[in-house]
Amino acid sequence: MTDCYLGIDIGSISTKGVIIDDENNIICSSYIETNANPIRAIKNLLKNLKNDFDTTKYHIKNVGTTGSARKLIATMIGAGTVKNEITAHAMGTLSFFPDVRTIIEIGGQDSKIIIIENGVVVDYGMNTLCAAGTGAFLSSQAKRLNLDVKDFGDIALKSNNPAKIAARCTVFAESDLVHKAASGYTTEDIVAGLVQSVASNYLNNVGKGKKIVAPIIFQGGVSKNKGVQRAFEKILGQDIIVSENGHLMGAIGIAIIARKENKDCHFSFDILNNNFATYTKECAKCPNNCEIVCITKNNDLIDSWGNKCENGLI
Amino acid sequence: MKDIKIGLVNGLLYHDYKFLIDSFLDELKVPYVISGKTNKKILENGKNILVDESCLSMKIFFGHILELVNKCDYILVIRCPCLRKKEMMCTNFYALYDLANNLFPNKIIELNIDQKNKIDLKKSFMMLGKKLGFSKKICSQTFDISYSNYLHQLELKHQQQLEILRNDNKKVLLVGHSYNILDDYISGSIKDILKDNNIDYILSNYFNEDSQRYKKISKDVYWSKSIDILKAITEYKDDVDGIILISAFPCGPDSLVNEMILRKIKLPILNLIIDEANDNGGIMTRVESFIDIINMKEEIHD
Repeated sequence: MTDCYLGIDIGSISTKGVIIDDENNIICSSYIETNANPIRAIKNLLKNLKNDFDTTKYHIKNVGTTGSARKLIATMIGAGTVKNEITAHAMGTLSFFPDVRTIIEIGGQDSKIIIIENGVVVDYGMNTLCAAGTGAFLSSQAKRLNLDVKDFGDIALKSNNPAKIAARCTVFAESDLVHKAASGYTTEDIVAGLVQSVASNYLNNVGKGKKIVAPIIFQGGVSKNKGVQRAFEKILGQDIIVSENGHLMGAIGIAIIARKENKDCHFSFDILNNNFATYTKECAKCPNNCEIVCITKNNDLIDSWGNKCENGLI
Repeated sequence: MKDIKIGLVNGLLYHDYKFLIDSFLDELKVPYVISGKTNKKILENGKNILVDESCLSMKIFFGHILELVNKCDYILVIRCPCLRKKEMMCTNFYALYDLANNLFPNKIIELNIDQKNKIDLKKSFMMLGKKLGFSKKICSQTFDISYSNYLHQLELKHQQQLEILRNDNKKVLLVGHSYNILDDYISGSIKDILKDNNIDYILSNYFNEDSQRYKKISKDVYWSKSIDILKAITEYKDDVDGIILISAFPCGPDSLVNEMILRKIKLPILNLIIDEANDNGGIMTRVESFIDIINMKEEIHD
């Protein structure tokens, strides 16, 4: 039996899972949509991974989770390692590109910049509450234009004259877009304008004041959009590297961190047979009125969080 | 004006002068009640009576006033247009008394610190004492005792921080106005995450006031409270592993000064802006990543 490690990156839009061996080689991976239901997404993800996985040959020693629902999922499957997505992404990227200096990451609702010197993260930036210029923004605009967001990149590359669209705010962008369409711009020009505004919005917001040095790696769901990649190249005057595993970097990173922690969390695919559920309740024991999240396994409470003081303990 | 009960608002400048005010009233044997810790209800109440554009700290302050309205005869509000000569305070501190007085007529008593009009700390407390019906002599003596108590307390806190600096743990300097740093509703979760990760922290509230070394960062800053922050940063920056800037949305002075700190101080710095949204997840991700940066600084990758 060879030891291997499972890394799960559960984001707002997509859920990524990867199993690696001791030398960081990918044994199997899966990428599915979260659809705002992390528990169901994890079950589907584990089913996919189980199908491609040889349980007689490999043994999953430790599991790591990252992404916005990392804590929930860690509790659910008993993961030994829980880490934030910035460290996980940096770790994953460094294992493929040891010389990387800048990581541009645009996901479903978060966008981040990670600055690396000598293989160590020295600075990072993240968008604030507003999700303008992220994957969610592109998806909603695609819907408005009646296009598939997956085709956005190719459509954008066809344009010679991108429309100028304000991407500072989704609401403004939408009215801009309607206006541009009404005044006769072609769909290609509008899509190219959107894609370009994503890049400039990112650099003016998340990348503000940060020194962007090559090699630059672009990842996260939006990196699959060739138009955005090209827009970054044009503005920065540098090559932008998009790796084919770019969407899996967070999962790979957390798997590597799980490997390094040298724990055994006794994970088994049998947890798929359990019934998990969550519910929230308002504490109401003091004026803070904390919202407490409870998670149950086969109707037994296994953990709860969200309370600011002991009053809220369940 | 004897036999009255004073309400002390646990917000804004009270955090700076708590020791002094409490001790002054204690010495004069004037009964007082302090509004409790900030909680969600207090913030909601404050939001309801102030305009949207007010900063988070103002909203919290007025929420606290509402807590006190039925529990005391007068509520003490600090008015402070000018704390030190040739310096300024955020305009909110000019307006605070008038705003409160308009919202709660006949209920507010002021402590007016205004160096520009030659009202220093002592004079302001003497004026307060006079309003409470005490003689000049008693007020003066009481202030002197309270003031030395206050300085002693501050020095104790300062020494405690210097003690923390001597150990080998990783250390972070939490930088911000005392009403953000000392209010656990705003900064409590940040402190908890640091504690859980075995990172020590010290606060920018306690520092050596006499040092002028901050002028190396900037000579042009004129907000007193921002100067205090720069003083704390110059004192501690060589002994900590990183700085977390905590400010309330939308703080004008902080938005300028924090930007300058980010550019001029060569340390890992995390800039956190706290707003009404109760989203702990976002703060957690940011603070945890920041801790990773500090911890990884010396680690060598395999």
